[in-house]
Amino acid sequence: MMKSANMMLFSRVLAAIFGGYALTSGVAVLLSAVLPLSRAEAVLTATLSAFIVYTGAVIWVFAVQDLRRAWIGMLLPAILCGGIGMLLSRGAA
Amino acid sequence: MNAVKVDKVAKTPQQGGLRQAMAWLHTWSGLWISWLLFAIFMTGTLAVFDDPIGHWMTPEHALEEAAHANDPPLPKVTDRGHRLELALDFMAKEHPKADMWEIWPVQRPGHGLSAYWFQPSGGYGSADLDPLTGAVVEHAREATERETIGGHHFVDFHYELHAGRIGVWIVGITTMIMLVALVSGVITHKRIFKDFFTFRPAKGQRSWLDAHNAVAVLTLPFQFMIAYTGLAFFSDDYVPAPVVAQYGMENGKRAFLADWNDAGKPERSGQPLAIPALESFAQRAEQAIGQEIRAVVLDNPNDASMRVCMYGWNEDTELLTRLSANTGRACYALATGEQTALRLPGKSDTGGAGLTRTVMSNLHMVGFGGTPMRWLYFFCGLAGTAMMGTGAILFMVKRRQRSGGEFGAYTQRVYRVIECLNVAAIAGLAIACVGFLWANRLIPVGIEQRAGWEVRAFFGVWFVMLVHACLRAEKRAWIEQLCLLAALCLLLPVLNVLTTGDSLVAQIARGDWESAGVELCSMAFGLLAAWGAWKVHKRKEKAARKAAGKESQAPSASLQVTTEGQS
Repeated sequence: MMKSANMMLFSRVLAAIFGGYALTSGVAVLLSAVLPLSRAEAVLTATLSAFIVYTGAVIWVFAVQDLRRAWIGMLLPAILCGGIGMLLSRGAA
Repeated sequence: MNAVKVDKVAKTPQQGGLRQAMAWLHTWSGLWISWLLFAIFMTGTLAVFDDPIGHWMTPEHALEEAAHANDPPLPKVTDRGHRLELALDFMAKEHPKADMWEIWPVQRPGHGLSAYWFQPSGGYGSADLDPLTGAVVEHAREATERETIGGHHFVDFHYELHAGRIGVWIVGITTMIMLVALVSGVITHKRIFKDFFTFRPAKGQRSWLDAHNAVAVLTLPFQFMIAYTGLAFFSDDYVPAPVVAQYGMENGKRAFLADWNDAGKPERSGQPLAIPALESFAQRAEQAIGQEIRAVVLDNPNDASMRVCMYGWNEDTELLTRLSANTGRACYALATGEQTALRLPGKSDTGGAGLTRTVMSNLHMVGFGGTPMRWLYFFCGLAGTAMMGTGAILFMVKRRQRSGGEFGAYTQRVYRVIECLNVAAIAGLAIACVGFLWANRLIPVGIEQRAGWEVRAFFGVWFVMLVHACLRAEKRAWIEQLCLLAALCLLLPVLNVLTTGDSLVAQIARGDWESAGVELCSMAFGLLAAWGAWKVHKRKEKAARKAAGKESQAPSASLQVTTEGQS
């Protein structure tokens, strides 16, 4: 019982750190592609906004009960945002 | 998960509700970074006054300055055109291949005539020139001159821990966790404003919690601002994905930076063109931007594509009312004499995003508002430091009364480690900081690598304090280190008299408030440390350790969360 509770906590921490970072990067890639600014400005705006996304993501991971939802909630939007962002990117990606 | 229903105990913080989950997150994210964050905050707070600290740490310079205090101010340059010629001659002779020449012809205290250039091999070169002859001025350090990095030690430590890129990343990750700890802390404390007006002194754990809440709530906007703007400096390093996506993996970063730094930089044409006199362009630029010219930057010298950019100089009075530290800038194509770019002081030539980052970094570095703003930052920084310190202590105060048993059989050992780290990170670091100032006076002037030895003394003292904290019982360790801190702080003015002959009275008499301020602050911290040592000495131990062993058996105890903040 202890073990599995610890493992679940560990998994949640991983979801917050790495899942949250993946989501942050995905959102930043999307922002840098769709913001109606010059390329350099869009990229900078995306990186400057990233820490809001990351903070919110970590808080959310610890707020939801279901651990699976926490993981899906990080990775699915990360892949979606990152994928769309890559498709729309204007540079030599 | 099914077992939860059986023993009706919340197995994870999440099952205790949102506030429970946030309290857990706040306690544990906060605890593990609190020591490092305390160090970053404390040194960052001292970094606000890096110039006065540096001034105190170069007493020979300070005394010489005082001797010349009544001299008439140096005359402003009237021969700028001639100086520009001298520097151009020097560059043409010594660095004809460099594709960027930069000349600083303005005479301000501490500035003569300087030249900078990009080496073709990469890297930045510089030389100081005699403003009358153009000859290179060699800065042979005098034997009596004290080599030190001064207050910059605190600046460097607080953003890179003297560890280069790795340090920048460690500080960035710590700062990111701080944002999480701040947000989860706010969610935990539902009565956030009531908490602020609540202080119950001499009630042990309750008082530590109240103190933690009061300093945190009072300065919450500042803490958010300082953490976020701190991350902004390296935001494209921390989150490189958009740079890679938009600019490509290879050289993406360089291309991204070129978009900012080299906007409008002309390509070399290969057609030769003689460099015209630049003084007339400097005068045009002064008209255009309304500032005195500080730097003259020449791209592609002797090429038809040659461009010159004139950078202005911010007056102190301008920065009292302006958040952006950008100076004015005007660029001219030298083939045609046409103005190709103009930026007025405080404005940005890289759009809103670039201006945002400029303002953010200026907010972080308190490059506006003058001395009163620096004091405000200093006190907010101290409050932030106190927030980390009281938080770390609170964790142990709570568990001294009742163990949480979070680490099973290892709980007591982990608690012991946390105790040691608390003492070494809080009292030990403070000793290391004042020890750095002591090292400045005690390390002989003129030895090799002197500045490096001062920094090594800082880390050495800190390490000794860690060892001491591990060897002594917790209460003794606190008392001894706080007493040592008090002694070092209170005796700093005495040390100064003994080593340089300069006393606090003399400093005040000649109006040297920078040096006097350092010593007065040191004495104030000394009194605070002495008071702290006295409080710890009077503390009654509530021995509740015995229960700890039994409690750690119970699985529910492993998930005890700190919810007192809500009650």
